[in-house]
Amino acid sequence: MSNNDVIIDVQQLGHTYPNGAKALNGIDLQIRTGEFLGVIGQNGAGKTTMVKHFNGLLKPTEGRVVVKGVDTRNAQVSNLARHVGYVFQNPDHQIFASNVREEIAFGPKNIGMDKATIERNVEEAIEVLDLGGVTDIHPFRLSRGQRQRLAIAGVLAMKPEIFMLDEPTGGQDREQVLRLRKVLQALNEAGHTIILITHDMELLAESARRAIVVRGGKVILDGPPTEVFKHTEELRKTFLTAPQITRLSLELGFSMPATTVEEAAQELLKRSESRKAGVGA
Amino acid sequence: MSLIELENVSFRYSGTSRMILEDVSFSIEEGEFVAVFGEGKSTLLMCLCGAIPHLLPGKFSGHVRVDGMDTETHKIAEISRKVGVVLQDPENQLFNLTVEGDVVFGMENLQVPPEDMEARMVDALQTVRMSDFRRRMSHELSGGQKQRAAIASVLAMESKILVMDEPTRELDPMGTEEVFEVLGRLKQQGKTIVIVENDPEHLAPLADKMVLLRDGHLELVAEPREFYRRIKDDKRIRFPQVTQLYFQLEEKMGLGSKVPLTLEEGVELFSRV
Repeated sequence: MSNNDVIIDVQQLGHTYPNGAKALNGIDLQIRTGEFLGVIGQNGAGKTTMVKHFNGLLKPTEGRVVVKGVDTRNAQVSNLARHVGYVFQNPDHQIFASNVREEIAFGPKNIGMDKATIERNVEEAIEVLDLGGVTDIHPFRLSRGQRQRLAIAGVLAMKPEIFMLDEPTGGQDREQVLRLRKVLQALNEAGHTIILITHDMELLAESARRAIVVRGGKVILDGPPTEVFKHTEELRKTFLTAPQITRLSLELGFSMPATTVEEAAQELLKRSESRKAGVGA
Repeated sequence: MSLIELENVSFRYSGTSRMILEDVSFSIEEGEFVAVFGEGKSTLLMCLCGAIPHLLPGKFSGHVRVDGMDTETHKIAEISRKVGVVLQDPENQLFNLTVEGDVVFGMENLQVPPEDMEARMVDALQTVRMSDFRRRMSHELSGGQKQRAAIASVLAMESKILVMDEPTRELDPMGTEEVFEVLGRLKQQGKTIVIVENDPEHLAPLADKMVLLRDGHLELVAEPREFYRRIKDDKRIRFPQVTQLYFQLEEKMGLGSKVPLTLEEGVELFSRV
């Protein structure tokens, strides 16, 4: 499969819940293999409802969703689970086992991975998510931040082609957020497609290469984070704000808005160099 | 005398050997807005509201004095007249069907005379901008509205001190904005606020003091500019991005000694570059 293949094709997707609430309203979206997509919007905008269509947890009431060439209406969730990993917003929704190590192995076993691979993947997930000190204790004795990382580890150990995370940074301190960012970037560099729902604009700006803004069940902005963040007015209507560093760079008139502190630092150094050079001449 | 005084406070939970707090001493003045970071921060808040040593089992030593009351020798009912608590998830603090019901519930617990309740409720709902919601059902509210309702129910108890443990963690950006707006207003009204919160951009301009714990020990207490300077290499704490940028460029560009905390301060400083 080449890197430009559409791996998730969303066509005119609508979803109306049984109680009549219309959560999604005509979403068109093509996600390509190897993309790192950030999804932003207020609670209730339809973000979670949308991504639950990508692993078949929800079926369209209008339009269709095609994942790896298969219409999700014709696919079983268990089959989709082999390709699409999903970390729920509330980590407690996916805790099944009586200790941390077993919990992480649960998903890989479920999709029929072989024993050696499971062992390797579980150890790796424990390592990268900093769960080494708690492998033998009951998941419910972990802190909320640890439970969140456990939920991520469980999905990570399945090494899904498409890795979806819904607000994975709740209760994490900065060090853990940086750790998670590295994990996601490494996965992405290895070719996995990442879909990240987050309110953390700094995390999004630093990691995603494409961002979509969802409002009222529709995708209202779609592009590289730097482009999306230029739409200050649209964002404000959605009560979203670009990271502080991006806003600073816009105020300072950067030609390309900064998404990270490092980018802004480089640009400012360049400016000061050229000013000095100007003075010298 | 300070409004809150901690003197050699240590605590470990029952059945564990690890000290969560160890020999922590500092004080908070009336009207201060204090942010707490590091390992042991939530346990520290539990000590301020009397949940430790009264409710959470463990080994407590040292003294916490709140408005002159030693929390160990005073009943939790007395302490809760002085200290209101707002938790991460407003769902855990809303028990009744309506906003009004929840605000009254807190006052009933403190045996506020019924004739005083109406005025206190009107006042509290006004402060959190929820006056129009008083007869609304809690479950119909957005996350930010629920958290504001929870704050109103604590305000109606008229405690001098508010203790808040990540009040915006479950909220979206709009809800977070709403709650911080309320916090700014409470600070202006002179409430003493002790908060655990991750959002440096909102926190830094409000805070008078920042407190850092490391493995239960007190590492640093300082006003924000000094605080960030002293821990500029610490990866555990999130800084406002303009502050982070300042420390990266300070030496290379000779930026002067005033650490910027807000976007406005950042724009002013860096536009001169």
